[in-house]
Amino acid sequence: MSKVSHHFDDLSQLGAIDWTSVIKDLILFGLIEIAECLRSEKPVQAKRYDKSGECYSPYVKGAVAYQFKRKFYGTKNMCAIYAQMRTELEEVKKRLVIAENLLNLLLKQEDIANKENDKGEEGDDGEEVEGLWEEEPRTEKKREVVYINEHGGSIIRSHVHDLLINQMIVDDIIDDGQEFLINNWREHPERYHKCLISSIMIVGMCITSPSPFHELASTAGSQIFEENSDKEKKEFRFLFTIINLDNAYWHLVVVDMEKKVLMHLNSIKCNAKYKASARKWQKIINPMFHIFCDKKEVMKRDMVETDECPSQPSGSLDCSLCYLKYMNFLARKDMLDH
Amino acid sequence: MSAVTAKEDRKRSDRSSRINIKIDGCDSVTVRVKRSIKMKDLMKAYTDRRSVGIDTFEFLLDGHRIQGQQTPDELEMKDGDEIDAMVHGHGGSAIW
Repeated sequence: MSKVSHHFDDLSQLGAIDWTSVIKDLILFGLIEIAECLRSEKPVQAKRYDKSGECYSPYVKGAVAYQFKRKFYGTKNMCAIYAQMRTELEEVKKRLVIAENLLNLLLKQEDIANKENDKGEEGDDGEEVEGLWEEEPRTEKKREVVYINEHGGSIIRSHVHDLLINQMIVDDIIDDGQEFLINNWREHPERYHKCLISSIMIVGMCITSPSPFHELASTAGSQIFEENSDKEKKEFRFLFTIINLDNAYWHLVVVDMEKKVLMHLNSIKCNAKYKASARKWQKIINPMFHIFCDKKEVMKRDMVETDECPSQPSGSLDCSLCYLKYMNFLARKDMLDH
Repeated sequence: MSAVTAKEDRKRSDRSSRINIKIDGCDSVTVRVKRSIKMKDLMKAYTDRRSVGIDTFEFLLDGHRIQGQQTPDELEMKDGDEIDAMVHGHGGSAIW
């Protein structure tokens, strides 16, 4: 009896966690660092940029992305950027503690669930009917929804697990990451450019659909520009799109309205398949800009393929999170206005 | 006379209360449903027919997610509207 009450204590502790902030932290702030630490069970090896005695891991937000950015947009005040990175790193360290506690709690809870399962099976011998009925709430517990985003996509607890222990990442999580990014950008208009993001679901639908391009363009456009006024349509700087390929890999297509380029970013070496799907999206967005924004110039430019962006570590499945970081990095004003 | 017209009226309203919905997934199916049906039931029927769990597909109407508690009336669906059944996308690393 005392054991049971002990378990319930743990569960109530879990319930008290503010899942929204946890997921947000995991996705946007130093997730890769946190995940690396948890996976390797030792501190991430620090490298580079240690002039002032402080070190940065290669995955710290923007440290490596900086090189890629310089190639495209030139350099500006490096000191200011590094100062910002330093504060960000401290935030990451704080969050690392939270994440470790969270993982411990989740693992504990899984143990409890397993024990309960074992107990249930033992009890089946005596009371068959009750044993059968008990199964349903158990599966519900596993599928417990911890967060529902604006578009109605839901994150369940196992998704948080996936984030922490190097699993493939579901579109719902990326959707949420994009939502957090957009909200963050809107809150700090002085630091970030105005940007648009296309929802994962609509992109997936357009890429796989056999319908003609202009039809797809109007559906995609009506969803992407739905919440934006005419003024905003003219002012935005970037349009980010994360595309899925073969249910195995994500890649990123960025439209820069000011430079008038269309960039295709890959966190691993590019292959013809990715290029093909990126080109299909290009064919869809060209008529889309024509219909909704009246900007014909974008369509004249060819796509810029680049492998220059920082790549993900071998063996990791973090590509989509890398893209969220690229997006956040590209949107920053301090790097671009040169 | 009045009874007959009432019957006809009911028939007509009954007819207009049912709509054809096309579900477009790996294969396309057209179903005829009441306007007051909960979309959850429709989704369950669709997924059960394919022997998969109800959360395998994400159902979209013009690119917006459909919630299980909504009805065609709430979604302002018309006769012949299309729903897209999308499989959730996973991804992480390149598989050659």
